[in-house]
This record gives sequence, C-alpha cells and structure tokens, in this order.
Amino acid sequence: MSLLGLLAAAVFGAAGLRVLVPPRAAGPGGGPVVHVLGAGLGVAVLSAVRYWALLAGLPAGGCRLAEFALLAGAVALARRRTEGEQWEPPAEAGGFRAGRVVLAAFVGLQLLAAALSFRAVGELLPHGMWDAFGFWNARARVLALSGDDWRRAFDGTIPHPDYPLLLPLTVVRGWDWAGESDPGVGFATAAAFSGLTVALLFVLLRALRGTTAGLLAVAVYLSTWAVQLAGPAQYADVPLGFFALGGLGCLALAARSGAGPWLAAAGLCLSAAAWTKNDGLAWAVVGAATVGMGLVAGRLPRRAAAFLAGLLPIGLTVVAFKVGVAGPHDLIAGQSGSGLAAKLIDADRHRLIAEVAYLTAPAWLVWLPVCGLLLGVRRSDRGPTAGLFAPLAGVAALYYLVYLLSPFDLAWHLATSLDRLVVHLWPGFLLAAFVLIRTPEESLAAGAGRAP
Amino acid sequence: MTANARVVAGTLVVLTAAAYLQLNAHHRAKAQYDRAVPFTIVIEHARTALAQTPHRDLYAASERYGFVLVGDVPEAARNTLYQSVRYALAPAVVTPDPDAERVVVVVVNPADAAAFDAAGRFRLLDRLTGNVALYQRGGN
Repeated sequence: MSLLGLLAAAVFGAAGLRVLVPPRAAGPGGGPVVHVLGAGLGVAVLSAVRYWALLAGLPAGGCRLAEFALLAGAVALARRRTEGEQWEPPAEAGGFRAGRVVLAAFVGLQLLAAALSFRAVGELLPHGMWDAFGFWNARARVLALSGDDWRRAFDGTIPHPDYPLLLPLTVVRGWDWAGESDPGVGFATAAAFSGLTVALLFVLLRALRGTTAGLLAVAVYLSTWAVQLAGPAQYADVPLGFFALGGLGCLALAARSGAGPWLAAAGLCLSAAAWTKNDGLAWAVVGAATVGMGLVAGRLPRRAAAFLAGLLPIGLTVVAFKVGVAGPHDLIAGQSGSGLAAKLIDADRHRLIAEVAYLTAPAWLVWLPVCGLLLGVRRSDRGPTAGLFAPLAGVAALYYLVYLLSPFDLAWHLATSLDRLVVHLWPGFLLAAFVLIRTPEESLAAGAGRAP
Repeated sequence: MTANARVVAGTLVVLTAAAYLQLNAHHRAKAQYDRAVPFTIVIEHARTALAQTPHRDLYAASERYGFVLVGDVPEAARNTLYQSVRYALAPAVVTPDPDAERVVVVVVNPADAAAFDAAGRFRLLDRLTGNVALYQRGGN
C-alpha cells in the first residue's frame, strides 16, 4: 500500500511527458528517457497539485479523486496523441560486444548489492535520518494530521518553515493513498528516487552516447559514497539530484534534436528542483541563464517560450508558497551588508571551504581522469560538452558563495551539508563526463583511424 | 599502448575502483546510520504506545507541550532526542520550553524515573514508554 501514491504519480507523469514529448519529437533513444523522467516529474506535479488543493481546502478524499482523474486523463490523452508512432531506438556503435556483456553483468551485481545495502541500512531508520524526522517527515505529519489547521506546520516549531514542499507533500499523498501514516511511504519514496536517478543516468547516456557509456556512468554512480549515504536518509537531496540531472539531460537532448518539447521538459525539471529544496533555486536560475546563452549562441532551438512554459506551472507554485506560507529563510535573516562584505574577503573562510571540499570530494575525481586518459575524449563536440559543464560550474559557484556568506558556524555548516551537495551535482557531472569521454567502441575505432 | 590495451585498461580501472569504492561506501554509510538508531527506537516506541494509550485525548493536534530531559546527555544528542519525540507526538506540538504547563519528560536512565516522580513538582498524566511520559505542572 505504501507504493500506491508513488505508482499513481509515476503513471500520470510518464503519460503526461509522453504528451509533451511524443515519439516524433523525442529523437533516438528518447522513449526510455520520457518514461523514466516522466515518473519523477509526475511526483513533482502531483505534489504541487496537492499544495493548491491544501490552499483551496479540498478534503483528502477529494484530492485522491482529482489525482485519479488527472491520471486517467493523461493516459487517455497520451494514447490518442501518440497512436501509431514508434520510439526511435538509440544509435549504437559496433564493437566491444564482449566488454559490454561483462560490464552489464558487473552493473547488475552492483545494482543487487546497492539494493541490499539500501534495504539493510534504511531498515535501521524507518523514519529516516535526523533531518527526516526533524523536519521533512515531521512537517508531513503535521500537514497530514492537522486538518484545516495545516498552517501550524510553518509556525516555527518545526525548523526551516521556508523549505519547499515536494517531499513532505509526496509523503502526505502516500499516506493518503495508503490510508495510514506508514513509515514505509517515506522509505519507498527514498528508494523510488534513488532507483529513478540510476535509471535516468543510464537512459540519458544511452540516448546521447550508447549503452556502454550508460553502464560505465552507472558503475561510477553506484559506488560513490555520498550517494550510498544519502539514499536511505529520506532527505530531499537525491530527488534534487534527479531533477537537476533531468534538466541538464533535457537541454542536451534539445541541443541534439532541435526539438522544443525537450526545452519545455527542461523547464519542468528545473522548476521541480526549486520545489524540492531551496538549493534548487540555484539550479533554476543557472538553468535559465544556460538556456539564454544557448539561444544566443544558436546551440539550442529558438523556443524560449517552450522553456518558460515548462518552468511556469511548478514555478508559480514555488512563488505562491514563498509569498503566502513559507517562513523566513535562515540563511538570509539577520545578515547585514557590512558583515557579508567582511565574509567575502575572509581568507580563513575560503581556506576552510577548500579543505572540507577536498576531503569530501568523491574519490572518482581521481579515477575518472585516468579513465579519460586511457579511453580518450571526443574532439568533435567539445562545444556541447562545455554546455553541460558550464551550468554545473555555475551552481557549484553559487553553493560556494552560500557557504562563504553563511550565518552559521562555517565548520559545522560544511560538515553537516557538503556531502549532500555532492549528491545534487554528481549525476549531472557524470552525464557531462561520459558525454566527453570516448566510449570503448569509439576508442577502438579511433585506434583504427575511424572515430571523431 | 594499443587501442585494445587502452580500452581494456580503462574499463578495468572503472570496474576495480567501482567494486572497492562501493564496498567501502556501504560500510561508511552503515556506521553513520548505526549511530542514529537509538533515537528512532524512541520514536517507534512512543508512536506504538500512542496507538494503545487509553489517554489518546491528551495528544490532540491542538495540544502543546514542553520538553524535559532527565539525565546527562551531550548537546547534539539532546537535540536529536527532542526532534525524535516531537516527531513521535506530531501533530501535537512539542517545544524546547521546560517551563510549559504540560511537559514530555524523557528519562535517559529508567532508574531516574522514580526519583523524578517523587520530586512532586509534576503530576503524571500518561506514561508512553519506560523512558517517555507526559506530566502536568503542579504536583500531587
């Protein structure tokens, strides 16, 4: 029963994104991307719908009915709009067949180990780690059980009343569909987003570079310790990493195919990121700037309206929440201009951030360049690859600035949060890295004088 | 180095590093989660007791309690205990205020519970678990 709310959202989202990005617009390998990304976006959209339902005073039974109607409508529309169309398979290079089989078997074992680890570790904490029972799930309990008095969830007794509501409202929806406040719902949500992120990384790279690139990226992702730590915690960092990856991936697909619908999907992903955590606002801002620069440089289809249309529905929900209900932001409240200026030029703060970042950085930052040196990098499309690294660098720079200006004890702030910011950036970084690094097939072909 | 050798080496680098790092990551994650287990046990026992207590009306959504910790606990652990009790009793509100009319008292060592009861400044309303009880200010 704890999966029912998630399944409903996944089916709604996959069908909905099929309407937005039909087979004729998706390009090679786009089908699986639409379905995996759609599943996550369905969770985001229905949590936004649930927020508006809260504002309107709709009872829980009415909400379920409305969601079911949306689900049925999306499925019917998807069937009608895409009838007779076929998804185009990805372009796969020849060669390295035996290697691909070995890699697939290895990743299969990794997935099994990761699932067992997730379950063993997550079962220790059925209500999640500290922040989960401290405020994410705590706020969900107050929202779910307070009836018309739901605004008590933001009166300051639960920390961070300014944090957006994708995760708490997804848990509320799950409890609603399950008929009880079962801790299995939070666990299932964490597991769903962990699995969806792995699947999205694979299908995006399969579409952009082929199956082998997808398998290599998944092998790296599953073995990153920040990912293993964050997975069962029931925090919002893994969902944010999913939407950030989705946004970057959709921009890459838009650049490849020239299709406006992928730009709309990118807007939807980046607004979902902003609805997941305040850090997601950085992704939305940098994503919008990237789209602007891409349009000016002629690398993206001239469909800025499509991106804005994608950004609008959940973006408006974020604005409505921030203006109408959310409490003050603890990173901003009480800070003065002169204090901020002093922090900007404080060398000790810069040194501390660099030290902790060095200690927290994934070990893969050493091994990936080795892999790149051995396999080689693609020479022919460095431009689009730079287009993927640039927004990552932009978001990392904004995160750096936030730490620099933090009102908290900086050592404490870094120690309790930097590893989770890695989880936001890492899936997108791996997407960019494996777009840049040659696949084994291309490397073999280059050795024979045939590859770009 | 031939192209074949580079491809094999590059793939082996990924496989070897992935195998080692994933095993290492599991042990690091488990160690962190093991440290947080005691507080989720507090949550679970308190919530189970809530479902069974004959005094459920004491825990309505509109109720507001303070939080009192009896026992010597480090500051970080104290805050986590408070968060776990607040979660267990939600949507009733639990604030850090030890001077509230009604307080949720967490006794780290059950042997201290009798001494707390005997001190007489609070009247016991409901005992949720061996360690967690709801008291009214005013004594007997």
